[in-house]
Amino acid sequence: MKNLKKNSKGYRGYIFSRKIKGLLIPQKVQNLVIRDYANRKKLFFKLSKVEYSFSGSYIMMKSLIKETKTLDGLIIYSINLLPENKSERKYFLNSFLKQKKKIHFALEEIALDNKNKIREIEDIYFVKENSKVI
Amino acid sequence: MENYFTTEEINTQKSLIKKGYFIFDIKEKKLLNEIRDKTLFHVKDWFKKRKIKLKINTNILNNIHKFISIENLNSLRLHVYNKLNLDRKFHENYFFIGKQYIDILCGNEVSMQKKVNLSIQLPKDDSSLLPVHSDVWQGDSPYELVLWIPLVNCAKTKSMYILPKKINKKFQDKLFKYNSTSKIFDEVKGKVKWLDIKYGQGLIFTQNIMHGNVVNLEKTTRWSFNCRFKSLLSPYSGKTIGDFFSPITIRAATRLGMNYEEPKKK
Ligand SMILES: [Fe+2]
Repeated sequence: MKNLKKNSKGYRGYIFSRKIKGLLIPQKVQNLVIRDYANRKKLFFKLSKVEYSFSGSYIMMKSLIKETKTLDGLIIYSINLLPENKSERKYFLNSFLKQKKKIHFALEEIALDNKNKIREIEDIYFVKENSKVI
Repeated sequence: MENYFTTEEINTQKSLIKKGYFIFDIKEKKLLNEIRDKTLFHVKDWFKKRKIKLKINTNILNNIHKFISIENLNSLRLHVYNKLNLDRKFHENYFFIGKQYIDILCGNEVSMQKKVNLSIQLPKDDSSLLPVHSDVWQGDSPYELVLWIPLVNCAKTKSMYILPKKINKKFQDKLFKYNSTSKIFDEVKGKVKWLDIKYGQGLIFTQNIMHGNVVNLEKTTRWSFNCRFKSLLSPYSGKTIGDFFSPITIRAATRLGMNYEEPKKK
Protein backbone atom coordinates (compact mmCIF):
# COMPACT_ATOMS: atom_id res chain seq x y z
CA MET A 1 0.00 0.00 0.00
CA LYS A 2 2.88 2.35 0.75
CA ASN A 3 4.04 2.22 -2.88
CA LEU A 4 0.52 2.83 -4.08
CA LYS A 5 0.42 5.95 -1.96
CA LYS A 6 3.65 7.26 -3.43
CA ASN A 7 2.63 7.02 -7.07
CA SER A 8 -0.97 8.06 -6.79
CA LYS A 9 -3.22 10.90 -5.78
CA GLY A 10 -5.75 8.30 -4.80
CA TYR A 11 -9.33 7.35 -5.46
CA ARG A 12 -12.05 8.87 -3.32
CA GLY A 13 -14.82 6.52 -2.22
CA TYR A 14 -18.47 7.57 -2.46
CA ILE A 15 -21.27 5.93 -0.49
CA PHE A 16 -24.88 6.58 0.51
CA SER A 17 -26.37 7.20 3.94
CA ARG A 18 -29.93 6.83 2.63
CA LYS A 19 -31.63 3.79 1.20
CA ILE A 20 -30.37 2.46 -2.11
CA LYS A 21 -33.25 1.18 -4.20
CA GLY A 22 -35.29 0.60 -1.07
CA LEU A 23 -32.52 -1.09 0.92
CA LEU A 24 -30.41 0.41 3.67
CA ILE A 25 -26.92 -0.96 3.07
CA PRO A 26 -24.72 -0.30 6.13
CA GLN A 27 -21.96 2.21 5.36
CA LYS A 28 -19.52 -0.33 6.73
CA VAL A 29 -20.60 -2.82 4.05
CA GLN A 30 -20.44 -0.25 1.24
CA ASN A 31 -16.92 0.68 2.35
CA LEU A 32 -15.90 -2.98 2.57
CA VAL A 33 -16.97 -3.57 -1.03
CA ILE A 34 -15.02 -0.47 -2.12
CA ARG A 35 -11.95 -1.41 -0.09
CA ASP A 36 -11.94 -4.96 -1.43
CA TYR A 37 -12.27 -3.69 -5.01
CA ALA A 38 -9.48 -1.14 -4.48
CA ASN A 39 -7.17 -3.78 -3.04
CA ARG A 40 -7.76 -6.18 -5.91
CA LYS A 41 -7.28 -3.47 -8.54
CA LYS A 42 -4.35 -2.00 -6.62
CA LEU A 43 -5.94 1.41 -6.31
CA PHE A 44 -5.05 3.72 -3.46
CA PHE A 45 -8.35 4.25 -1.69
CA LYS A 46 -9.02 7.49 0.16
CA LEU A 47 -11.78 7.67 2.75
CA SER A 48 -15.29 7.78 1.34
CA LYS A 49 -17.51 10.80 1.11
CA VAL A 50 -20.93 10.02 2.51
CA GLU A 51 -23.88 11.49 0.60
CA TYR A 52 -26.47 13.29 2.72
CA SER A 53 -29.49 11.27 3.68
CA PHE A 54 -32.17 13.72 2.47
CA SER A 55 -33.87 12.31 -0.57
CA GLY A 56 -32.62 13.61 -3.88
CA SER A 57 -29.45 15.14 -2.41
CA TYR A 58 -26.29 14.90 -4.50
CA ILE A 59 -24.50 17.66 -2.65
CA MET A 60 -21.50 15.47 -1.78
CA MET A 61 -21.34 14.19 -5.36
CA LYS A 62 -21.20 17.78 -6.60
CA SER A 63 -18.48 18.58 -4.11
CA LEU A 64 -16.44 15.71 -5.59
CA ILE A 65 -16.42 17.44 -8.96
CA LYS A 66 -14.60 20.34 -7.29
CA GLU A 67 -12.14 17.93 -5.71
CA THR A 68 -11.31 16.21 -9.01
CA LYS A 69 -7.93 17.80 -9.52
CA THR A 70 -6.56 16.34 -6.32
CA LEU A 71 -7.67 12.80 -7.21
CA ASP A 72 -7.00 10.04 -9.73
CA GLY A 73 -10.68 9.26 -9.71
CA LEU A 74 -13.57 7.86 -7.77
CA ILE A 75 -14.75 4.53 -6.50
CA ILE A 76 -18.53 4.64 -6.21
CA TYR A 77 -20.16 1.81 -4.29
CA SER A 78 -22.64 0.99 -7.08
CA ILE A 79 -24.15 2.29 -10.30
CA ASN A 80 -27.38 2.58 -8.27
CA LEU A 81 -25.93 5.62 -6.51
CA LEU A 82 -25.96 7.73 -9.66
CA PRO A 83 -28.63 10.46 -9.84
CA GLU A 84 -32.01 9.33 -11.10
CA ASN A 85 -32.23 12.31 -13.40
CA LYS A 86 -30.56 11.34 -16.69
CA SER A 87 -29.04 14.72 -17.50
CA GLU A 88 -27.71 15.11 -13.96
CA ARG A 89 -26.21 11.64 -14.24
CA LYS A 90 -24.52 12.42 -17.53
CA TYR A 91 -23.29 15.78 -16.30
CA PHE A 92 -21.64 14.13 -13.34
CA LEU A 93 -19.97 11.36 -15.35
CA ASN A 94 -18.81 13.76 -18.06
CA SER A 95 -17.37 16.22 -15.56
CA PHE A 96 -14.99 13.53 -14.40
CA LEU A 97 -14.14 12.11 -17.80
CA LYS A 98 -13.39 15.58 -19.18
CA GLN A 99 -10.65 15.88 -16.62
CA LYS A 100 -9.32 12.46 -17.58
CA LYS A 101 -10.30 10.87 -14.29
CA LYS A 102 -11.60 7.34 -13.87
CA ILE A 103 -14.81 6.34 -12.15
CA HIS A 104 -15.00 2.83 -10.77
CA PHE A 105 -18.21 1.15 -9.66
CA ALA A 106 -17.15 -1.32 -7.02
CA LEU A 107 -20.19 -3.58 -6.81
CA GLU A 108 -20.48 -4.03 -10.58
CA GLU A 109 -16.68 -3.99 -11.02
CA ILE A 110 -16.91 -1.61 -13.95
CA ALA A 111 -14.40 1.12 -14.68
CA LEU A 112 -15.43 4.13 -16.69
CA ASP A 113 -12.53 5.78 -18.47
CA ASN A 114 -13.99 7.03 -21.74
CA LYS A 115 -17.20 8.48 -23.12
CA ASN A 116 -18.14 5.36 -25.05
CA LYS A 117 -18.45 3.44 -21.85
CA ILE A 118 -21.13 5.78 -20.55
CA ARG A 119 -23.57 3.87 -22.73
CA GLU A 120 -22.75 0.64 -20.94
CA ILE A 121 -23.38 2.34 -17.59
CA GLU A 122 -26.64 3.82 -18.91
CA ASP A 123 -27.80 0.41 -20.16
CA ILE A 124 -27.18 -1.20 -16.80
CA TYR A 125 -28.79 1.73 -15.00
CA PHE A 126 -31.87 1.49 -17.21
CA VAL A 127 -32.30 -2.23 -16.64
CA LYS A 128 -31.74 -1.93 -12.89
CA GLU A 129 -34.32 0.81 -12.78
CA ASN A 130 -36.96 -0.90 -14.84
CA SER A 131 -36.69 -4.59 -14.12
CA LYS A 132 -38.22 -6.44 -11.24
CA VAL A 133 -36.17 -8.37 -8.71
CA ILE A 134 -37.91 -11.56 -7.70
CA MET B 1 -49.58 15.71 28.54
CA GLU B 2 -48.03 15.32 31.97
CA ASN B 3 -44.36 15.80 32.68
CA TYR B 4 -43.53 13.97 35.86
CA PHE B 5 -39.92 15.04 36.27
CA THR B 6 -37.83 16.10 39.24
CA THR B 7 -36.43 19.64 39.29
CA GLU B 8 -32.99 18.33 38.33
CA GLU B 9 -34.45 16.43 35.40
CA ILE B 10 -36.37 19.48 34.22
CA ASN B 11 -33.33 21.77 34.38
CA THR B 12 -30.97 19.32 32.68
CA GLN B 13 -33.39 18.67 29.86
CA LYS B 14 -34.19 22.35 29.44
CA SER B 15 -30.51 23.07 28.95
CA LEU B 16 -30.12 20.42 26.23
CA ILE B 17 -33.29 21.40 24.44
CA LYS B 18 -32.57 25.13 24.61
CA LYS B 19 -28.86 25.12 23.73
CA GLY B 20 -28.29 21.71 22.17
CA TYR B 21 -25.67 20.83 24.76
CA PHE B 22 -25.16 20.31 28.47
CA ILE B 23 -21.86 20.57 30.36
CA PHE B 24 -21.49 18.88 33.74
CA ASP B 25 -18.89 18.33 36.44
CA ILE B 26 -17.85 14.70 36.59
CA LYS B 27 -18.53 13.32 40.06
CA GLU B 28 -16.78 10.01 39.43
CA LYS B 29 -13.29 11.53 39.28
CA LYS B 30 -11.75 8.15 40.06
CA LEU B 31 -13.22 6.63 36.88
CA LEU B 32 -12.02 9.57 34.81
CA ASN B 33 -8.51 9.36 36.25
CA GLU B 34 -8.48 5.63 35.50
CA ILE B 35 -9.28 6.41 31.86
CA ARG B 36 -6.54 9.02 31.73
CA ASP B 37 -4.02 6.65 33.33
CA LYS B 38 -4.88 3.89 30.85
CA THR B 39 -4.47 6.35 28.01
CA LEU B 40 -1.08 7.42 29.35
CA PHE B 41 -0.04 3.78 29.64
CA HIS B 42 -0.85 3.09 25.98
CA VAL B 43 0.82 6.32 24.86
CA LYS B 44 3.98 5.33 26.70
CA ASP B 45 3.77 1.87 25.18
CA TRP B 46 3.54 3.27 21.63
CA PHE B 47 6.67 5.35 22.18
CA LYS B 48 8.44 2.44 23.86
CA LYS B 49 7.85 0.28 20.78
CA ARG B 50 9.69 2.95 18.84
CA LYS B 51 12.48 2.96 21.38
CA ILE B 52 11.60 6.41 22.66
CA LYS B 53 11.48 6.78 26.40
CA LEU B 54 8.70 9.16 27.23
CA LYS B 55 8.59 10.59 30.72
CA ILE B 56 4.98 10.30 31.75
CA ASN B 57 3.41 13.05 33.78
CA THR B 58 -0.08 14.54 33.80
CA ASN B 59 0.93 17.29 31.43
CA ILE B 60 2.38 15.04 28.75
CA LEU B 61 -0.92 14.83 26.85
CA ASN B 62 -1.07 18.62 26.52
CA ASN B 63 2.49 18.60 25.25
CA ILE B 64 2.52 15.49 23.08
CA HIS B 65 3.13 17.60 19.94
CA LYS B 66 6.66 18.15 21.21
CA PHE B 67 7.32 14.42 20.83
CA ILE B 68 5.41 13.35 17.73
CA SER B 69 5.06 14.48 14.12
CA ILE B 70 1.75 14.91 12.32
CA GLU B 71 2.67 11.95 10.04
CA ASN B 72 2.90 9.58 13.01
CA LEU B 73 -0.07 10.94 14.87
CA ASN B 74 -2.67 8.62 13.40
CA SER B 75 -0.60 5.58 14.26
CA LEU B 76 -0.45 6.70 17.90
CA ARG B 77 -4.16 7.53 17.89
CA LEU B 78 -5.12 4.15 16.46
CA HIS B 79 -2.87 2.33 18.92
CA VAL B 80 -4.48 4.02 21.93
CA TYR B 81 -7.98 3.75 20.42
CA ASN B 82 -7.66 0.03 19.69
CA LYS B 83 -6.15 -0.84 23.06
CA LEU B 84 -8.74 1.14 25.02
CA ASN B 85 -11.63 -0.26 23.02
CA LEU B 86 -10.56 -3.82 23.79
CA ASP B 87 -10.97 -3.01 27.46
CA ARG B 88 -14.49 -3.54 28.82
CA LYS B 89 -13.70 -1.63 31.99
CA PHE B 90 -12.85 1.42 29.89
CA HIS B 91 -16.29 1.27 28.26
CA GLU B 92 -17.97 0.78 31.59
CA ASN B 93 -16.12 3.71 33.15
CA TYR B 94 -16.99 5.88 30.19
CA PHE B 95 -20.68 5.15 30.61
CA PHE B 96 -20.69 5.57 34.38
CA ILE B 97 -19.01 8.96 34.09
CA GLY B 98 -22.06 10.26 32.24
CA LYS B 99 -24.71 7.83 33.47
CA GLN B 100 -26.52 10.26 35.74
CA TYR B 101 -27.20 12.62 32.84
CA ILE B 102 -27.57 10.00 30.12
CA ASP B 103 -30.35 8.52 32.26
CA ILE B 104 -32.05 11.89 32.41
CA LEU B 105 -31.51 12.87 28.78
CA CYS B 106 -31.76 9.57 26.86
CA GLY B 107 -33.60 7.27 29.20
CA ASN B 108 -32.59 4.62 31.65
CA GLU B 109 -32.39 1.84 29.09
CA VAL B 110 -29.73 2.77 26.58
CA SER B 111 -27.52 1.49 23.83
CA MET B 112 -23.94 2.69 23.55
CA GLN B 113 -21.64 3.06 20.55
CA LYS B 114 -19.44 -0.03 20.49
CA LYS B 115 -16.21 1.90 20.04
CA VAL B 116 -15.44 5.13 21.84
CA ASN B 117 -13.75 7.54 19.43
CA LEU B 118 -10.54 9.31 20.30
CA SER B 119 -9.55 12.64 18.84
CA ILE B 120 -6.05 14.12 19.19
CA GLN B 121 -5.48 17.56 17.77
CA LEU B 122 -1.99 18.91 17.70
CA PRO B 123 -1.53 22.67 17.49
CA LYS B 124 -1.61 23.85 13.85
CA ASP B 125 -2.48 20.35 12.54
CA ASP B 126 -4.96 20.56 9.66
CA SER B 127 -5.08 16.83 8.95
CA SER B 128 -7.91 15.85 11.28
CA LEU B 129 -10.49 18.56 10.84
CA LEU B 130 -14.22 18.14 11.08
CA PRO B 131 -15.84 20.83 8.93
CA VAL B 132 -19.20 22.11 10.09
CA HIS B 133 -21.73 19.27 9.91
CA SER B 134 -24.66 17.59 11.51
CA ASP B 135 -24.16 13.82 11.82
CA VAL B 136 -27.86 13.24 11.27
CA TRP B 137 -27.42 14.34 7.65
CA GLN B 138 -25.21 11.33 7.01
CA GLY B 139 -26.88 8.40 8.66
CA ASP B 140 -27.05 9.05 12.39
CA SER B 141 -30.41 8.88 14.08
CA PRO B 142 -31.70 12.23 15.42
CA TYR B 143 -32.39 10.37 18.68
CA GLU B 144 -28.68 9.96 19.49
CA LEU B 145 -26.68 12.06 21.94
CA VAL B 146 -22.90 12.34 22.16
CA LEU B 147 -20.98 12.14 25.41
CA TRP B 148 -17.73 14.07 24.87
CA ILE B 149 -15.02 13.85 27.51
CA PRO B 150 -11.68 15.65 27.30
CA LEU B 151 -8.47 14.51 28.97
CA VAL B 152 -7.10 18.05 28.93
CA ASN B 153 -8.65 21.46 29.41
CA CYS B 154 -10.26 22.52 26.13
CA ALA B 155 -11.24 26.02 25.10
CA LYS B 156 -11.40 28.17 21.96
CA THR B 157 -9.98 26.47 18.85
CA LYS B 158 -8.60 23.59 20.95
CA SER B 159 -12.19 22.63 21.66
CA MET B 160 -15.21 22.11 19.40
CA TYR B 161 -17.92 24.56 18.45
CA ILE B 162 -21.66 24.23 18.10
CA LEU B 163 -24.09 26.59 16.43
CA PRO B 164 -26.50 28.36 18.74
CA LYS B 165 -29.70 26.38 18.37
CA LYS B 166 -31.77 29.41 17.42
CA ILE B 167 -29.72 30.10 14.27
CA ASN B 168 -29.08 26.48 13.32
CA LYS B 169 -32.26 26.07 11.30
CA LYS B 170 -31.73 29.23 9.27
CA PHE B 171 -28.20 28.23 8.28
CA GLN B 172 -28.76 24.53 7.73
CA ASP B 173 -31.42 25.40 5.16
CA LYS B 174 -28.71 27.16 3.15
CA LEU B 175 -27.12 23.80 2.42
CA PHE B 176 -29.20 23.44 -0.71
CA LYS B 177 -28.49 26.99 -1.83
CA TYR B 178 -24.71 26.71 -1.42
CA ASN B 179 -24.27 22.99 -2.06
CA SER B 180 -21.46 23.05 0.48
CA THR B 181 -20.95 23.45 4.18
CA SER B 182 -17.79 25.53 3.86
CA LYS B 183 -19.82 28.49 2.60
CA ILE B 184 -22.19 28.05 5.52
CA PHE B 185 -19.23 28.10 7.89
CA ASP B 186 -17.90 31.31 6.33
CA GLU B 187 -21.21 32.92 7.23
CA VAL B 188 -21.55 31.55 10.74
CA LYS B 189 -17.98 31.43 12.01
CA GLY B 190 -18.39 34.61 14.04
CA LYS B 191 -21.57 33.29 15.61
CA VAL B 192 -20.57 29.78 16.74
CA LYS B 193 -20.26 28.88 20.39
CA TRP B 194 -16.83 27.53 21.36
CA LEU B 195 -17.30 25.12 24.23
CA ASP B 196 -15.08 25.64 27.24
CA ILE B 197 -14.68 22.25 28.92
CA LYS B 198 -12.06 21.47 31.50
CA TYR B 199 -10.56 18.16 32.50
CA GLY B 200 -13.06 16.88 35.06
CA GLN B 201 -16.04 18.00 33.03
CA GLY B 202 -18.17 16.23 30.45
CA LEU B 203 -20.30 17.45 27.57
CA ILE B 204 -23.47 15.94 26.18
CA PHE B 205 -24.69 17.34 22.87
CA THR B 206 -27.12 16.61 20.06
CA GLN B 207 -25.80 15.94 16.58
CA ASN B 208 -28.96 17.48 15.12
CA ILE B 209 -27.28 20.87 15.43
CA MET B 210 -24.30 21.81 13.29
CA HIS B 211 -20.92 21.55 14.97
CA GLY B 212 -17.28 20.96 14.11
CA ASN B 213 -13.75 22.07 14.79
CA VAL B 214 -11.02 24.11 13.12
CA VAL B 215 -7.22 24.01 13.24
CA ASN B 216 -6.12 24.08 16.88
CA LEU B 217 -4.50 27.50 17.18
CA GLU B 218 -3.78 27.17 20.90
CA LYS B 219 -0.41 26.14 22.28
CA THR B 220 -1.33 22.70 23.58
CA THR B 221 -2.79 19.45 22.18
CA ARG B 222 -6.41 18.40 22.49
CA TRP B 223 -7.26 14.87 23.67
CA SER B 224 -10.94 14.07 23.76
CA PHE B 225 -13.20 11.05 23.56
CA ASN B 226 -16.67 10.94 22.06
CA CYS B 227 -19.27 8.25 22.14
CA ARG B 228 -22.90 8.09 21.09
CA PHE B 229 -25.76 6.97 23.31
CA LYS B 230 -29.44 6.57 22.61
CA SER B 231 -32.55 5.31 24.24
CA LEU B 232 -32.60 1.57 23.61
CA LEU B 233 -35.88 1.41 21.74
CA SER B 234 -35.89 4.82 20.05
CA PRO B 235 -35.60 4.85 16.23
CA TYR B 236 -32.28 3.79 14.71
CA SER B 237 -30.94 5.07 11.41
CA GLY B 238 -27.84 4.07 9.40
CA LYS B 239 -25.99 3.12 12.57
CA THR B 240 -27.83 0.13 13.85
CA ILE B 241 -27.92 -2.06 16.91
CA GLY B 242 -25.35 -4.83 16.71
CA ASP B 243 -23.09 -3.29 14.13
CA PHE B 244 -22.58 0.12 15.70
CA PHE B 245 -24.52 0.21 18.97
CA SER B 246 -24.74 -2.33 21.67
CA PRO B 247 -27.48 -2.55 24.32
CA ILE B 248 -25.91 -1.89 27.71
CA THR B 249 -28.83 -1.43 30.09
CA ILE B 250 -31.82 -3.63 29.38
CA ARG B 251 -33.95 -3.58 32.49
CA ALA B 252 -36.04 -6.29 34.10
CA ALA B 253 -39.42 -5.24 32.74
CA THR B 254 -38.08 -5.24 29.17
CA ARG B 255 -36.43 -8.62 29.72
CA LEU B 256 -39.69 -10.01 31.05
CA GLY B 257 -41.43 -8.57 28.03
CA MET B 258 -39.04 -10.04 25.50
CA ASN B 259 -39.21 -13.47 27.14
CA TYR B 260 -42.97 -13.48 27.66
CA GLU B 261 -44.78 -16.51 26.35
CA GLU B 262 -48.50 -16.86 25.83
CA PRO B 263 -50.32 -19.92 27.18
CA LYS B 264 -49.92 -22.74 24.68
CA LYS B 265 -52.28 -25.58 23.87
CA LYS B 266 -50.48 -28.82 24.81
FE1 LIG C 1 -20.26 15.22 14.56
